[in-house]
Amino acid sequence: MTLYEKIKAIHPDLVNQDFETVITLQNDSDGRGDYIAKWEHPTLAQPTQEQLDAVEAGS
Amino acid sequence: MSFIGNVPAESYSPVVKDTFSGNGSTTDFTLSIPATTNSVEVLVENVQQEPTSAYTIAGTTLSFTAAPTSGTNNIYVIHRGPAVQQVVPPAGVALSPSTVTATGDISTEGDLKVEVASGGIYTITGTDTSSNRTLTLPDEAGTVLTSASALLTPNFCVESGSQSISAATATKVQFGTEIWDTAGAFDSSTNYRFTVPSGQGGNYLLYARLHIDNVTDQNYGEIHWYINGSNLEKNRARSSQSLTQQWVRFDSQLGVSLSAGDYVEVYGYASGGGSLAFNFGQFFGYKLG
Repeated sequence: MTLYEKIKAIHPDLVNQDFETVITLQNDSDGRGDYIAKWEHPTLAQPTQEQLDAVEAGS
Repeated sequence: MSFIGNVPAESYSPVVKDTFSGNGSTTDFTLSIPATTNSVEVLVENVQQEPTSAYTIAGTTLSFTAAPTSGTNNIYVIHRGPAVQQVVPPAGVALSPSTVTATGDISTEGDLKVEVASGGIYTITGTDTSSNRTLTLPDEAGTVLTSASALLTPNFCVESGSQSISAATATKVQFGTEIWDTAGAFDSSTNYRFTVPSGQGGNYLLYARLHIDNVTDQNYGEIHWYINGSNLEKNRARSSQSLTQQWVRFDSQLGVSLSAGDYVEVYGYASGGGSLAFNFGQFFGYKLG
């Protein structure tokens, strides 16, 4: 399950444009994987690591 | 009458004349060649002047004891001293002066050849044309051109292979295959970035092409340029997925002014799809100046 899929599971209302403007998911191809480089969504809070882990555990 | 020895070169001894205009105050005038006081005839308003009492000469400086009157070309000096001999060497005779100084243009109908200390000969030549061409060097200090191949350098070209990515995640493209890299400025093994070498700051033109597999309907792919780790959001290039294929392939060019040590990376992005993967990527760039 990718970081994008976990975030979409937590915030189903997010749309493509959100990930182009107020949210940036990034992967620097350095072995660390995907991460949240920017979260500036005006109403939805950035998921915590616990929330992200819970989504994966529940999938 | 026959003789033993080399045939004397043709020569002639032109009489040199200098002309000046008096203004009623100037006493010193500069001759075109050195002379002595008694080796010239000096006339003012066509009246010959007496050496020493009316004028003296030291080197190329003609000094009147009283300023000549105003007039256009009313002073002239005829050099009667030792001949100024010019020799026209016969064709085919090699001259070997240690230095040559010319006050005018140097013209040749042949090639201009320069032999360097190690013996090699540089030849300045051109294509066969009846039109005149001019080579003008820039007005810059130091060495302005070290090699024709120095133009548009440094430059590089790298490619990428298959690389899995996540949707909606800007992912650095792993350009791991160097096609060429003139300055060793591209890191194709760890950071996948071009770093401007020392002394090579300037204006650069960069190009990136990307193919993304399995981009599903209504989604799109993008190329993101990163300079020193920052996303140049205004320079993104996008390609929308069509209904007849499950991939996008597109390119982007970026003109940018970079300083030594700046680094450039290319990230790819797909808004959605399944088993997304980069493929067939290419990234090249060169310094414009």
